[in-house]
Amino acid sequence: MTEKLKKLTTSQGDNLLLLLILAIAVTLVSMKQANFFSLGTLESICYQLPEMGLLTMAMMVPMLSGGINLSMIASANLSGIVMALIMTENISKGEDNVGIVIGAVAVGILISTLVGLINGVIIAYFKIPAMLVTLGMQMLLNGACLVITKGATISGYPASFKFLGNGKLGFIPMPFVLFAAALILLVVLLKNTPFGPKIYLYGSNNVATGFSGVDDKVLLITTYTISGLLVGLAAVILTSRFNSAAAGYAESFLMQSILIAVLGGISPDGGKGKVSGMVLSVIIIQVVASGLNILRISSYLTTAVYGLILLAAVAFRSKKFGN
Amino acid sequence: MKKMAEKFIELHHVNKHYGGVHALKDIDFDLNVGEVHCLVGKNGCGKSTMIKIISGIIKPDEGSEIILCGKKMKSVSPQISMDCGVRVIYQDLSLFPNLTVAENIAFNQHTDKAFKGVNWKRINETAKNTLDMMHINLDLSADVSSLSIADRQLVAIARALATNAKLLIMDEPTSSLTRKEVDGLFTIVRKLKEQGITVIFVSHKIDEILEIADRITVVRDGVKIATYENDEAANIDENKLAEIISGHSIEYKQDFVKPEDEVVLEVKGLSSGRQYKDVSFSLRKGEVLGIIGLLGAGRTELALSLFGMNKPDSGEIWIKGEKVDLHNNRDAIRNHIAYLPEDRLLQGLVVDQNVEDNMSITIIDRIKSVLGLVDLKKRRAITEDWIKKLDIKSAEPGVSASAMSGGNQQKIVVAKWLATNPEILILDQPTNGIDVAAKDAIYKVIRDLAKSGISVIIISDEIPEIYYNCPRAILMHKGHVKGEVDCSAMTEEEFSEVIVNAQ
Amino acid sequence: MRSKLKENKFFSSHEFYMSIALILLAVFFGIRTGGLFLTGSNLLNMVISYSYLGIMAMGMLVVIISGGIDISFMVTATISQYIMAKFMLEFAGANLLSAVAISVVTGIALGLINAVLVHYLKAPTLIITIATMSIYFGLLMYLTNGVRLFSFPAWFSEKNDSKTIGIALGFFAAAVVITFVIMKFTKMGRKIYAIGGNIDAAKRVGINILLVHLFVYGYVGAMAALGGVVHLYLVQQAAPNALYGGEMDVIAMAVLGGVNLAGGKGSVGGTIIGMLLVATLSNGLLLIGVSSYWQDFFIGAVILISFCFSGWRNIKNKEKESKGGKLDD
Repeated sequence: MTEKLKKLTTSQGDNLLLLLILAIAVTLVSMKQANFFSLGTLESICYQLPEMGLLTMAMMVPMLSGGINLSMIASANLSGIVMALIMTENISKGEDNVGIVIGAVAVGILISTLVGLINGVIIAYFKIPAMLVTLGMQMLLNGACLVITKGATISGYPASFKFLGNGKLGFIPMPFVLFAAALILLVVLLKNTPFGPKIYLYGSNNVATGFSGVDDKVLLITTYTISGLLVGLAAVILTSRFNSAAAGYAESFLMQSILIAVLGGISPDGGKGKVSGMVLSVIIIQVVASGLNILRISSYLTTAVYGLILLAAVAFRSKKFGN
Repeated sequence: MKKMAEKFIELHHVNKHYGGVHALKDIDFDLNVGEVHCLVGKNGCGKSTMIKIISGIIKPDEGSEIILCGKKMKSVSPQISMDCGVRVIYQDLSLFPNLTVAENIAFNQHTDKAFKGVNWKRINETAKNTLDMMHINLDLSADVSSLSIADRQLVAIARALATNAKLLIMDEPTSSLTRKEVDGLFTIVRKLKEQGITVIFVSHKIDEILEIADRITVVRDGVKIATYENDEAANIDENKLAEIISGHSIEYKQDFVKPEDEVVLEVKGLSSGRQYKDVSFSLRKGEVLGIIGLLGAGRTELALSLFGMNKPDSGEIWIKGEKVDLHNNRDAIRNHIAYLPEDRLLQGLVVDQNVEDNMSITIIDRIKSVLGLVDLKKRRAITEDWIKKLDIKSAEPGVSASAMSGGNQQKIVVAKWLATNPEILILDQPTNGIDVAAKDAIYKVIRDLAKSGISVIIISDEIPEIYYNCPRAILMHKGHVKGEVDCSAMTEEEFSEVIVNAQ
Repeated sequence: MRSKLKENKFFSSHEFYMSIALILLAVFFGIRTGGLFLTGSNLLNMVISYSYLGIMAMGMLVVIISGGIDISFMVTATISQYIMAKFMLEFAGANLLSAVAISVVTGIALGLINAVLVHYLKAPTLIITIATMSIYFGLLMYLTNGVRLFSFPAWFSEKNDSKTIGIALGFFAAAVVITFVIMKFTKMGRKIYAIGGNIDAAKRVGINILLVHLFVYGYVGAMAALGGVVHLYLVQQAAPNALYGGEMDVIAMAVLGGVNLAGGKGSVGGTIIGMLLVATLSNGLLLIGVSSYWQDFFIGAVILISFCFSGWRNIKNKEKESKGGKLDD
């Protein structure tokens, strides 16, 4: 029995196991809501999943290098706030101006990317643990959000911006298009560029990788900048779907992204984890979230449930299983 | 007639199976009180298993009999082992680097069952007394992390002695010591003998074994081959011992490749802080140059400077007639220099990743195809090619490096560097922890490389390794170059003497 | 010879530089506020306001020395505080001793859960305690519905200066002294340092790792609860989401105080300096009129800059250790 279990924890076996968990989750939820497994549900999942998916991707890349990005949500909030300000200051309510919206989106993405760059530079050049740097950055960014908004909420966006989070490109929800595009690029990055092998080897053993001629500073800075870029994309979708921006939003998303990453097989110690596992994990948690929603579980209890699932995921992934 | 010595421990018919593997086969072993007994054999021969059984960490199979402290038992428990005074000093020393020398030595005062607080005065007293007994002087308030490896070893020994040790088991204690420090260690071992403390010395360094051992037990493939008295009557010499250990007779002979005239590397007056000073030498194309000197001589630091990872304070490095400034190892690689680090598992290989990733990491930026993407087919082809060329058994591109033997792992590291088309290959302790047969294979690879025009620098502290592979050797001692030796012009004994005199 | 080494150890130590930074900062604020910052009453108030965080920092110090981290401590403090508040409101016979006891016991219990998970799950302590933080917080908010508790019995709500000093500084001093004594003079304390320094060696010398984990995480819980008690007294209300988000302040106190995140190093004195640094910064900024909105931003920036500073010093120190000086002939 343990031999079979061990086989299941190899790479393809891993994905099969996740598919199994997904099937169980879908079955359980379908029992509570008959038409769960329908096109309507699929569509709504395609609207909700991308923001979590992008955030998890933003968490995955630093984790592969053996680090972590705790400043993600604060960075997304800041981007959201700045985008919101640019739009609300320059476009009167009820009107639209695609040029400004594009500009706002570009600035928003740029801000988070820049934050990622700074994170990477500090981690690479001062050799400080990623946990500390991104925690400090989180505090600083939260402060910046408060300074700009003075506690207020900024809402009321033009239609062209709302389209990004709520519209459709043909049959496919717009956020899903962005998510799928980013996903494809990430897969190409990890499988087909030098960055991929470098980050996996670095996460597994940074000393030997350094001895092999890999520039660890460039690698780390690239890692956190990519993470920041993904955070920026997530911010666009988040802000568009929330239809408002403020300091302190979406705090529970940080823990969720860690949960999804760990469940999907990304090892927090670095060097391990595939995009396929991560995607399956995002879907599983999305189904779980829908299920909790259907059961009308309060959002706070949901947070507690996620915490439990994270512990279960950690136990499942821990070395005891020979992983 | 020899007096029958009192036995500290006896092993009779000891067997140990690990799953299906028969690790120890019907071992019969005994230890005299107060003797220095060397346990010798190649990696995986079973000597570590024997140690673990003696110290009580693992239990032998049914039917094994052990006599310890005068009592017969089927297995030794950790508690009995402790009570009988068995202390093991592992190769990693198991010290606490963040605590002081005194606290490390007296640490057992923290783990005893008494319900008292910490008595710092007693800790310092115990530490001082133990060091005095060993006739050595260390700063009690220094953090262990600030000590040299030799001093740390002394702390580890002191810790064992502070707890009333009767049997001290030392696992490869000299692998990181200079000749002088080895002498210091042996002096202490002899003092311990005088006090009636028994010592088991696990080592693979034949010359040291012959120097310190009263008796030598050779283990091979789980079987005790023989126990020898190390005295004049037995007349054991190094070659014979090496043969018994490895099971084949190795006929070493010098088989040098004549280097070309072109000078590929010239080092002029290189100095780096406290590490080495005023080092100058040159290297010709296709030459195999040895740098010999025990740890602390500055050889690895020098090698790292040649590889761009340890910027020297002064001096010059010239490659093929041009002065180069190496800021990092990418500069070195661009200048066709490659370096195989000393610590294969930490610095040489990423053990948890697969063979292909390990082999191609050094050239991954070079095998790009269209759009800057990696040419995956080419990468696979290069990997499989090297597996064949170096005859790396049981290696496949997708297999994890952790599944390979030490020798094959080293081959992967060699492949990774050969893939960069180096002209100068620096090997730092290339056969560390590799058994005799695999050693030979690596020496063959080195010879072939030299024949093909690659210059090789071998850094080692093993005299035969340098003598039989390098026609020329540079002697380093405490950061200075003490001389250059023409190995082809002397016997191995003469070479050995020159080395010893240079220390 | 030995005393010279000790002297050198102090002057190049992290604590020394941080003390200098503290003095400079204090002088700066003193000048900018026309001396207001440095008045006795301001300094006293400042230390009182930050005493509860300082108490928690003692727990944080211990867990980081052991080589781990606990990010759930704020929620533990909140839960302990809330239960204590409920107890005071519903039991007529409650007094300070029993109320504090209930709070601390709760904190220890929550900490022990962390200890067991950390010991048996073999995963980064950051991830495990993020999980328990979510579980604790989610349950807390769900079960309390966010309801705030206030109007405590007179023996708790009646505040006067000496009582406030007694509770805030008294408990803080107690936490400091207890932590110092434990880490320096008990075997458990030394075992905590040992585990942080080399956990494999610790196992080999026979240290019971589970017991140490239980103690460490139980202690964090206890200190968090104690801090929660002082906080409750100062603000006189228990709000389930009040403390949430303040984790970084406490972690910063420990890290600024010189604790090494890898484990094995750290001191009570250093953490006190760290606490004073954070307190001085916040208080000083407030006094010179910087709005509270800018607080987090500035403190975050200062924390990052000081991380960079110690990171830089670490790098330079390592270089000096391996290369420093000259070789004689």
